[in-house]
Parts: sequence; structure tokens; C-alpha cells
Amino acid sequence: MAYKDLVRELAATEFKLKYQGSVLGYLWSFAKPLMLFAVLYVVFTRFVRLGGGNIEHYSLYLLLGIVLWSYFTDSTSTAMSSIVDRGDLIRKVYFPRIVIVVAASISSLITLLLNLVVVFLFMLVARIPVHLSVPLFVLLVAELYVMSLGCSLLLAALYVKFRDFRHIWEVGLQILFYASPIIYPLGLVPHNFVPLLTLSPVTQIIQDARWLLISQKTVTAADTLHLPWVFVPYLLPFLFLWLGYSYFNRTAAAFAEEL
Amino acid sequence: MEDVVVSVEDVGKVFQIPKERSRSLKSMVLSRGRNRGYRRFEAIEKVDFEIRRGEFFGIIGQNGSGKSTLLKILAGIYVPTRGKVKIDGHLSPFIELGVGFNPELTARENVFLNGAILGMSRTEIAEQLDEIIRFAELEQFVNQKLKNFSSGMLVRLAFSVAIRARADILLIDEVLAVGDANFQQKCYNVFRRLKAEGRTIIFVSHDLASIKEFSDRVLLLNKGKTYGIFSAAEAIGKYSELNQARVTRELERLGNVGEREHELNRPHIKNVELLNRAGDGIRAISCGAPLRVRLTVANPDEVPLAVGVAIYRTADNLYCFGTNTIVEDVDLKPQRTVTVDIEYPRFPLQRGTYDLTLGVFDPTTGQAYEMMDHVLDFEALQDNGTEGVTFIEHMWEQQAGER
Repeated sequence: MAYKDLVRELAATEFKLKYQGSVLGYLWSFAKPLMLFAVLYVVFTRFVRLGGGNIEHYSLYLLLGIVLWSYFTDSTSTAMSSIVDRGDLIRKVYFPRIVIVVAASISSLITLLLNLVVVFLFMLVARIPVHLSVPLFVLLVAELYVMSLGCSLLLAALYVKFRDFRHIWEVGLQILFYASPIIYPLGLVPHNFVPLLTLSPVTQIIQDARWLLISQKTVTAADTLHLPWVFVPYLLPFLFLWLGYSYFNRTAAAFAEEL
Repeated sequence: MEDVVVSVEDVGKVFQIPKERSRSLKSMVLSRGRNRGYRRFEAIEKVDFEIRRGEFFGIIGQNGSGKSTLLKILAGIYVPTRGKVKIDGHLSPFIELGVGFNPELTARENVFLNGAILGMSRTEIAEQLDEIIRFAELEQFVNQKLKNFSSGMLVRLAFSVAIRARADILLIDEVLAVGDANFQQKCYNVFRRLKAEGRTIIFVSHDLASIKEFSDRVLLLNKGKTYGIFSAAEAIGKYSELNQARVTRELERLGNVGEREHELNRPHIKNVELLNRAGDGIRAISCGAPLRVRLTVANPDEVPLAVGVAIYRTADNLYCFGTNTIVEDVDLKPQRTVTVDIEYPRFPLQRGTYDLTLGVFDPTTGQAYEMMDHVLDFEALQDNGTEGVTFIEHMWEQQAGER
């Protein structure tokens, strides 16, 4: 990896600049999920009892889902415009263009890891028992990263040609948000739709993460899908990565001219 | 030949320029099947040359001759449409100094960022950081944000990083046009050192003086084609000839347009000349000497007209000075041929290459009848050691003090 230092510098720069000029700086990476948790806690334990009755640690359950989901939206949205935003570099220097997208995705990954620290703190506070299987969570984050990177590569390359994709992706994310059990529990969904929802890697990752970290009563893809379907959500991210990577590589040589 | 490090064979580059910039799916879908989408633009038609190991290879050519496209192809930024580029060794992949500099980061952080962009590893940069900063003369400013730097400081820092880039073949585009005389001298010294070290350098510049001083051979590009490869002195001679020919051609082209629009009979520029006080045509001017620009405008319908002349510094397109007969209340008699001279009694611009943009306007509406952008390059030669863009009239005076 001859370009790992460049990935590192670009990602670090992006992360540094994110909080440039704000008083709290990096602390915002912790403050945001903290505040979100406060809101969720108040809303879902005091006002709305959306499935909160039969799910333990419901606000934490929601927080984890939202933190993972925000990583997906953040990283795909910033990575989508990363090539266009770094037009100055692309027109003036040669290096593999994929470096820019990878750097953008890593910068978002850093934010995710900081957010997860907050989640872990709350887990400690809530005295949620830690299982032996918790380290598997790393694999889920990796799966999420693979999926985000795949989508990012595809979107970044398409966005160079068609600026419509900003809006298309916004709508797509909205749909995906409501089609995934992020702010509602999977239990509220009519039974015949549940398998369909769990085919989506987003649902699968969020539910598996909740199962690993918060409550083993969580309904996962493994519970609702039969062989061979159960492999679908686990394999889709790699399909996205392959698609994104090949499309990106095919179009990358012309980026300098199109920007 | 065994020690050819760069070989460019029959290279061509065609750009497909969308007629309407199609950036949305809608325009893409709507124009499907109709063949009005793209205009072909052949930036480089046929370029061939070889560079040998250890050569200092200059590239010159007018604006629009395909110089920057060729550079981008060499750097790997563009993929040529036709032909082959073979590079033996590692070529510095950038065509501009200070790429990726971020004003919100400190000088130190920017050195790491810029260095990484130029292909250096973190350890390499860390090892050379002190030297980079020292060469740029920025020791006191290492931890200051770049937004507080002057443009001179930025150029120094950028150059200082760029010459450390680990490359067997260095691509240098137009750096000496900026920076103060002191730093320019340092850059020249680096060039001499690199040359003595036997590094291969591809140097593109408008600054004919530095081309002449360093280049072993010079590629002269003309309209996207190799015009020839010459010794430095020869190339500069040919370049000046081409320059003159281009003005004539440009005039002819505009003349033709004028004829095609005969029914309009709009005023159009017939000729532009640069003259010294004696009335001889010149292409170079010393700072402080008189310079006269003579504009001949054909005006078949003898309508009232106004003219404007603007001077740009070619290297960075800096708008140095512009004026016209409207703002200065000069009435031009509406004759069939209007000949106007503008004289700068003491031409004040410092050393560098400049070009003229000319226009003929309707004096009441201010609408342009015709514009000629960036034509007629000329050299300003200034050797009194002062610095900056322009020479400002001044005097020194010592006041009475204590003995």
C-alpha cells in the first residue's frame, strides 16, 4: 500500500477540519450522541411507549441503531461528493483516485468509533452483561464499512457525471431509513414483511449489533430467514463493494477531464 | 536509445466538450438519440519527443498550444486519446505547486499533507521537515496557519516541498514567475544543483530567460503539434516568429468574421503593433522605457467607437492594468480606419511575460463590437533589482539627524 500515508493524511485533515473553529472541537463527536441519547431517553421512556414495554434498555437499543445508521448516511453522503470536492487535487496531481474516497470513508469511520465509545459507556452505566460474543461486533462494523465503501465508490463516480445523485441518494436514504428498524422495533412490523426487511444488510447489521451488545431477545436475520436466504444480507455488502469498485475504476481515468 | 527516460510517440488528446454542460440525468435523457451533445476539441494532435536521462528539457508554446494538456498527460492526470507515453522511472505527478494546501492548517501540517499528495511517505517528510522549513525561510512560522501567510511565503513553502518529492524525473511548471528576487535566486541554485546531480527535469515556462539559461533542449509546441525541438536560443527565436505569425493569423480570422458578418459591417481590429518611441516594432521592453500599442480598427460604416487595452501577466493571468477611451473621455473620430496609439511613457511592470487583451466598443452602450483576448505576448525586462508587480515611482531621502 504505497498510498497509505496519503489516505492517512487526507482522512486526518478532513477529520481535523470538521470541527475547525468550534470551541468544543473533537468533543462534539462525543457530545452529539450524548445529546441524542438524552432526547431518546426522555421521549421513549416518558412520552411514547413504542414497543418500549417489552424491550430492555430501549433508548440504548435505539441509540445504537441511530449511531450505526448515521455512520452509513454520513459516510456515503460525504464520500459521494468527495471526488467533486477535491477537484483541485484531481486536476493537478496524479494518484489513484480511490484514495480520496477511502480517506473520506475513514474519516467518517473515526467519528463512528468515537460515537461507539459513548454507546459503550452507557452500556456500562446500564450494567448490560457483556457476552463472550461481543468481539464479533468488530466484524459487523467491518461489514458496515464494506457496504458504505461500496456505495460510496459507486455514488462518487456517478456524482461526477450526474449531480442528480445528491437528490436521488437523499430520497434513497429516506426510504431506507423508514424501511429499516432504526427508530421502531422489528416487532411492530407485520409478520409477513419481516423477512423482507431483514434481507437488507442495514437491518441485518443493526439487529445483529443489538443482539450482540444489548439484548439477545433481538430478532435477527438468522431468526427470520431460511437457508440459503440468510446469506443474502451478509453477502450484499461485498456485492456492492465489487460493483462500486469496478464502476469507479472504469470511470476514474476521466475524472480530471470531467471536473 | 538506452537512456531515454521519457518517450512520447504520436500522442493526441481529444476532449469531448458537452455543448450544454450536461450535469443532470434529465438533459442526458432528453438529448438521447440526438447528436448534438458534444463538440470535439483536439488539444493535442500529434506530439513526439524523447527525453534522455539527465536532460533539462524545456517546453514552450503559446497559450492554447497544448502545453498544459501535454503536461497533464506526462503527469498521468489525463489519459491520451492516441499514442504512447513511456516513462522509465518515477515522475513527479504534479503540475502545480502547493496542491492541496489548506489555509486552516499550520505550515507543518500542510507540509505533511502536501508531501503525501506528492507521493512522499510520512517518515520521509518527517526526516526532511526541518530542511524544508529552513529552505522556505519560515522557521518562525511553522505552527502558524497558512491563512496568515503572504503569497510569497506560500510559494516558498510549496517550492520547498516540491523539490523534495522523490522523483527521477521532475516536472516543473512556471514557478519562477513568482516569489521575490532573493528566493528566485535560491530556486535557480536548486535548478543548477539538480542539473549537476544529473536529474531529469521537464521545465515549462513563459519565462524565456530561465528557459534559455537552463534548458539543454526545448520543445516548441504550436497548435497542439510538435513544431520542433531546438537548442534554447533557437527555440526562443522560433517562438517569437510564431508569436508574430499568430497575431497576424488572429487578425485574419477576425477579419474573416468581419466579412462574414458583412451586413453588419461592425468595426473590427485590423492590426495591433507594439512600438518603441522610434516607431520600430518590438517584443521586449525594459522597465521604465516608453511603450506604445498601436491599434488599427476598420470601421466601414464610420460609426462612433471606443477602444480598450488591458495588460495581463501571462504566468498567473494577473490583471495588471486596463483602460479605455470611454472612462478617459477620449473621443475617436469615426473614420473608415481608426488608428489609435496608447503610450505608456515609462512602462512600469517588472520582469515577466505579459499579454494584451483588446476591445472595440460602442461608446454609448459600452457593448463590445469585438474582443481579442490574450493576444500579443511580450517580455518586460527589468534589471534594477526592485521587486513586486510594478515599479512605483519613488525617492529616498535622509532627514537631518543627530551627528
